[in-house]
Amino acid sequence: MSRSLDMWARLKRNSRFYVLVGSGWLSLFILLLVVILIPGRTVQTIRLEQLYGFISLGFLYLALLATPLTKIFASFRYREEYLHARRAIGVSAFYFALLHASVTFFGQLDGVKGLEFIPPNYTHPLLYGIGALVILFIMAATSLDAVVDFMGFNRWKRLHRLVYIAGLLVVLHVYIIGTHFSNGRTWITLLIGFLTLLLFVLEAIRLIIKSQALYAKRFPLWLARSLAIGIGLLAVGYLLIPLLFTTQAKSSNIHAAHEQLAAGNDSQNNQSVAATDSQYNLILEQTTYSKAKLTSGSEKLNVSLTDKQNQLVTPENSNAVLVSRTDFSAVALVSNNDLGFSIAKNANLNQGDYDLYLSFQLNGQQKTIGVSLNVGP
Amino acid sequence: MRRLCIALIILSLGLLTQSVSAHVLTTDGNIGAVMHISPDDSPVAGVPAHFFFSFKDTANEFYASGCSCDFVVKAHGQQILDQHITASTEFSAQELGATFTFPKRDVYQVTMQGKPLVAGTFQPFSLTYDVRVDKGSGQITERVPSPYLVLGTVVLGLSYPSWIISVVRKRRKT
Repeated sequence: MSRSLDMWARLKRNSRFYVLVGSGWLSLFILLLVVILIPGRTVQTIRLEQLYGFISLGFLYLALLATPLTKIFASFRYREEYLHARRAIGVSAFYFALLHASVTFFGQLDGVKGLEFIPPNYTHPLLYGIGALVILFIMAATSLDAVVDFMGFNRWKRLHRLVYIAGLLVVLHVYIIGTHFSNGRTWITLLIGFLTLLLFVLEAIRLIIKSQALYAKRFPLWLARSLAIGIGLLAVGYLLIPLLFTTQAKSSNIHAAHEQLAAGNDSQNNQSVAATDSQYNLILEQTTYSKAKLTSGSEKLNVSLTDKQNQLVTPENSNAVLVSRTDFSAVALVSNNDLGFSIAKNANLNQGDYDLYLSFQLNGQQKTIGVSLNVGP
Repeated sequence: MRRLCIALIILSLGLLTQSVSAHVLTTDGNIGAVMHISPDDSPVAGVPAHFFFSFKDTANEFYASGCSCDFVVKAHGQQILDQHITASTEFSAQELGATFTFPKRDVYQVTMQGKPLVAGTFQPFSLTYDVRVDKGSGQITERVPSPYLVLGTVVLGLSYPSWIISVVRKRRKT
């Protein structure tokens, strides 16, 4: 009994204990919050995966920040506790990374069965993530005092420098596959970019100070200071230039094309849209129309028909109808020359999404192809 | 401390059992696709939702421009959209996109189905995903969480911060 009390008293003085208990608490609390606040299994799984991933990233950042921060700001108030807790912070980074990976693997990618179906553009960023997870596992497995004693401190320290590679792999993983990183100008991308740069700057200053201390004669203080200022300016410039001179920072994220296409569709929905069947493509000149202009006859629905070699074809007996996606009501269209259609007089046209169905005859075949459009005010 | 690390690993394994059958990867025979929805994987009723499908054919025969693909949306078994989909130059040869505005909050089944334009070039497929539209106008049958679960979450949420506060206060006193 007294031994247990003694152990409890020792644990309560150990900052690692609070970090590890806090990690277990946080993972459970987040799980319950997601289950309560977010309806729908799919979105729950996606949010859990994202939150666990972000928290793991946060712990890894804190673990990497410990050395440069405490070396540069030696009078930092919680310096000793922070440095002592660093191993537990690393274990927590691995714990949340394991949760993140497991939710992704079992919850989203269908486990072992889904492995062979992972699309090619997902493979590399997933491998970076797995590489980082393996390194974090090695760090966590060798974080016990007994392992440090067994390995010897210097060998153990060299092994734990692998954490820098893990950090690099995590940055690549996050920037390429993270859905929140598809646009280089979102607040979350900028925040994480800023924090990463801050870490680089602090590490650079630490290394400069260390080099200056070791090679003071060959490495004068003015050079150390100039280098530190130069690296800082480069980092700030790297962050600010995309913000000041581009409308949308370029991104190598695999969702970037998706997001840009989606943004383009939402803001400027006037590009042509195509629908196809096994033989023909139906191309609608634009995807957004004005109800006022359509009903007044000042705007027409111009369509064209091509074959699979993209050659224009002229159908016979073509007629078209607009079908509302909201209430399935149909609006007849009046045919003009060259596959241009206008709204019939007295037609009851509302705002909303419609499908335009074109029926036509070609080479003795009767065909119908549908293409979607939106009617605005 | 070692026991605490082991407890964390056991807890993580326990949490894993909470995350099953909510796949964004769906397969049919040789062909599978990961679906991503913009905005933020959570469509809003009345706002265009953009669907992106990244395909993987284990036989390496599928290519988007050679597919006569249809994007089908159903609500409670009733079909509300059947749209032909064409390959876009914005995407890679293994990707397809579609846009649909969900009329109201509800649970929908989204299916991407396709067959080759030239018969026999790849296996026909039908990939179905459940999509829950929780934001925007309209009514949806709300799943009310158990009051015990809510209470448990509140208690759990307060437990650690209050413990830490009490520890800090005690340390300051001593």
